[in-house]
Amino acid sequence: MTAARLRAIFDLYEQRPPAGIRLTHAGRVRLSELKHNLRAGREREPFGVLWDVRHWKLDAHIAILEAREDAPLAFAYLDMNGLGQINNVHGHEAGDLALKAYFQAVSSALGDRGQAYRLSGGADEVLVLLPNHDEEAAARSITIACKELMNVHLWPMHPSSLLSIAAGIVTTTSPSALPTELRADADQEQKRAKLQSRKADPRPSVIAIRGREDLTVLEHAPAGYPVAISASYFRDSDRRIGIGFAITNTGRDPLPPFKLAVFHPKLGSNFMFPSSKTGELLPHQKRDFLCPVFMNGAIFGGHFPKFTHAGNGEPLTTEDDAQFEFRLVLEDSDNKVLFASKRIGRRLVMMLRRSLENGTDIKATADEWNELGYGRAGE
Amino acid sequence: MVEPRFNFTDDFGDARLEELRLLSWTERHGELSLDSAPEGPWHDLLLSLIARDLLTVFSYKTGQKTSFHPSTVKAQILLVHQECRTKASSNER
Repeated sequence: MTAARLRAIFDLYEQRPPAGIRLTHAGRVRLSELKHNLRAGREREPFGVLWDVRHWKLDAHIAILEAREDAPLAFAYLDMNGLGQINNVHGHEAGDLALKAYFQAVSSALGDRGQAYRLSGGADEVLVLLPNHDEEAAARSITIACKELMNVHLWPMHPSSLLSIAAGIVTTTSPSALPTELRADADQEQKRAKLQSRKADPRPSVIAIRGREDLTVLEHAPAGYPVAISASYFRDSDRRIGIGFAITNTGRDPLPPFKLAVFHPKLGSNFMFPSSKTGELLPHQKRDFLCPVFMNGAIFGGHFPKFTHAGNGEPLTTEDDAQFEFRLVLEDSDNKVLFASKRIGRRLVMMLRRSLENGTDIKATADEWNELGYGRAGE
Repeated sequence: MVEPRFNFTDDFGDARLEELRLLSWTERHGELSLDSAPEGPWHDLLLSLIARDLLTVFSYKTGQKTSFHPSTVKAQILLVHQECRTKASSNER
């Protein structure tokens, strides 16, 4: 082996091409280490959700090298619809809130299956790398991100401020593809999607795939979920604080009687939070639900003895709070569940943070509190 | 069908990335064949990879044919050494 190495080195010094060069085990280890090292030490964009723009090209180069016929690399170029309008109507802080929701939706949809980069400092363009994704798989992942964002209703009373995404997708199996060309191609597709999204109000999410004329259009308020949810803190005294949910019927038909359900895996059952008003909810009507929380942030913990672990009967703690899942459940008059929303915990945290920042607590009266049946105010 | 060739005429960018590209290409295609020796930084890179034993031209099949006996290896090293010396002296002249 030593002789062969010397021979090859000598040939190269002599400007002769060595024949039959192959990778050694050390070479394979180096290959793996290089990939790891080149991806190490990356930084996030200012919101701390996606990767910073500086890293996209190097990461794209590495991802392209791994692209194969049976493991294509998908490039997606995303742009949020209507950010300018949100900034104009609700202000730049609201725009930041929308951007963060958008980035979180993308990040959550990708998980560890792909990487997303915010392309320019203050803008809403995002590049997504999806290794081992063909067009269909990539479209599925981007659809999840679109739906996740479209379920965020930051301004329920402003339908034109509903959030959505225009996305362009291209794929490659060639290790010699260039990142800049793929990005430009994906951007071209994104522009096609953007044009389509402008044709409706509220603007839908649209996904365009290279080589396909038809576009995937995802409309807002899909059937079975015609509600908008907002939340903020409420208090009736310094000692009690809770979460107030406002559920607005954004559909065209009255909603049957419904409840807000909270699920906890340890408790193993749903707790329904009543509203002071019952009956069906007419279109555009809003209904408030009040849920008890405490100043230390512990939901239900300790102070309400009936909320205990199903197994050992010990009071719930702050750590348990993280496992609560808020869902909206629609029931008919016979308590038959018609529809259960997906988990809304992520949006809840975001809305509560906004509520704290803006000082827009809902003030609940003592009577309202007492009607909920969690004990008398001041106790 | 034309045998794929690594493009040594591309601009040489980030050295780590180019090293990754070359190793990755070799892994994908199994063997790196050259029409002529590369030049400039590509030449240095290839030389470095072979010198560090990350790439090799050694074949076990060929090795078995020529035997692993130490004297054979020594003879091959001496042969290369002799060629180097001959080349060096001709350059001096």
